[in-house]
Amino acid sequence: MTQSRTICVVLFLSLSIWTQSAFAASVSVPRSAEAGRTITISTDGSGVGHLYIVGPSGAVERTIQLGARISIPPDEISNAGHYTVFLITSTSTETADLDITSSPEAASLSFLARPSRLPVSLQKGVGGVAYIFDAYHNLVMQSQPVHFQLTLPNTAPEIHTVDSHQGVAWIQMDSSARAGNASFEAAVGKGTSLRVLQEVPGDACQLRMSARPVGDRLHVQTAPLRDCTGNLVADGTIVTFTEIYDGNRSTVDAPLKNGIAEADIPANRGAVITVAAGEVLGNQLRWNGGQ
Amino acid sequence: MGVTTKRRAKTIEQFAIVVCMLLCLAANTLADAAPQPLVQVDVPPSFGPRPLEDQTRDAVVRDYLKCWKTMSQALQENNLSVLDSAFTGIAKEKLAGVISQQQKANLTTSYRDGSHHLRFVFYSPEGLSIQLLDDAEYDVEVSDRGKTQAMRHVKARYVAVLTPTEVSWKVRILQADAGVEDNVTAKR
Repeated sequence: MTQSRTICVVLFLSLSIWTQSAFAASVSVPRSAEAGRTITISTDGSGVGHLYIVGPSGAVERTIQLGARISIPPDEISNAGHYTVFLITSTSTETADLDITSSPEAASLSFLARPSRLPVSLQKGVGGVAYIFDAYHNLVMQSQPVHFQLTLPNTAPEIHTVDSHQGVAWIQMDSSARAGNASFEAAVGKGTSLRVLQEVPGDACQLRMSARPVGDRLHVQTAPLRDCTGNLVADGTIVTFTEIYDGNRSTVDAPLKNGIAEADIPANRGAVITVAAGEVLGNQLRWNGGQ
Repeated sequence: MGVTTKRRAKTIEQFAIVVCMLLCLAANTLADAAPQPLVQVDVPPSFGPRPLEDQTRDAVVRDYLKCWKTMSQALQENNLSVLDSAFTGIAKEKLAGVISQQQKANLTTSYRDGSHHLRFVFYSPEGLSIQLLDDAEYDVEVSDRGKTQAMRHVKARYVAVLTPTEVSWKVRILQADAGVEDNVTAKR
């Protein structure tokens, strides 16, 4: 009597385990897939289940027939990221991981060039940072050669190629010797991005002035003021003429126009006249009435 | 009689104020008691063209951890409006897209971050972007029409790019990617 009862219990348990396993669903998901590809998910079992593919990069829900293959088109999951796949049936919950990786083909870039205005011949003065994206705006993790090109009109471009690292490539370059609007371009794959940098002359290199009488005044004028690489110093730069006479000091500030600054000052015999632009001092004159 | 009533009213008012203060204190204590993720931060001695000041590092870590809270809230409530406080650019657009997908499917998800191992990998020369890797562990829970369906513990490596704004750093890129190279570790 006891034996037959035990056999019945064992049979019942075996049957229930067999039934559970017979109807339990399973899900088969590729461990990783590239963004832009259709994802195929296989399931086992029979009946109806709910499939959830969720992550901070996307969310998909499907009511599915167990045993069928499910295709998720690229437009539903195109963001690179880690996804968790849940297959929920009336009797079980199956889970799996799915990594969508960025495509190795660069399609666009986010290019930051700094500064927008800088003096010529400045060592490591130009900085560029490029973040590289695929067609789905995922950061491209695979290393990519990024071409940085700095070009001034009528000059040979300066080109450097830098391999990206974890989606970013950066460079520091010297500014050109000539002043002007420089094109700063970053290019990778099909993506290019252009920025314009204004390279302005540096500080005056040599400052010289001359003087001539005009009526009862003295007209002082600088020679064309250039930086150390020969560019005319920017218009508007202030040049200061100082006249020291009989212990008194008087100054006149004059802006540069086409590289030249000029001013009229009192013509005092024996006056000492000096000129300066920023930290650069020019020559000194003593006015002896035109001698 | 009138004086007694006024006194009683004042006593009740004072009592109410004390109760409010106690409630606020209790709420703060409970909020503080909420489990905080374990955080480990590595700053390699040389990882980019610009040195990282301690104050900047702390601010970036603080704002990055905040972004996880914000993301979880946004995806749990399908609430776009909270994203602005922590996200910008592509990261914000993509999260808005996820919220839209969840709304269409009547889903919500919640992310409880348990730990972050952060490594700074790039700080741009002009200081306008900073990149870090995060080996994160978190629990993801999915709910369908308000009913919790399932939960899973996840380990994933994230790459994040943050940019400074007026008062804080905001996440511009947040992407888990199995293809992220572990060069920081490899160098060691």
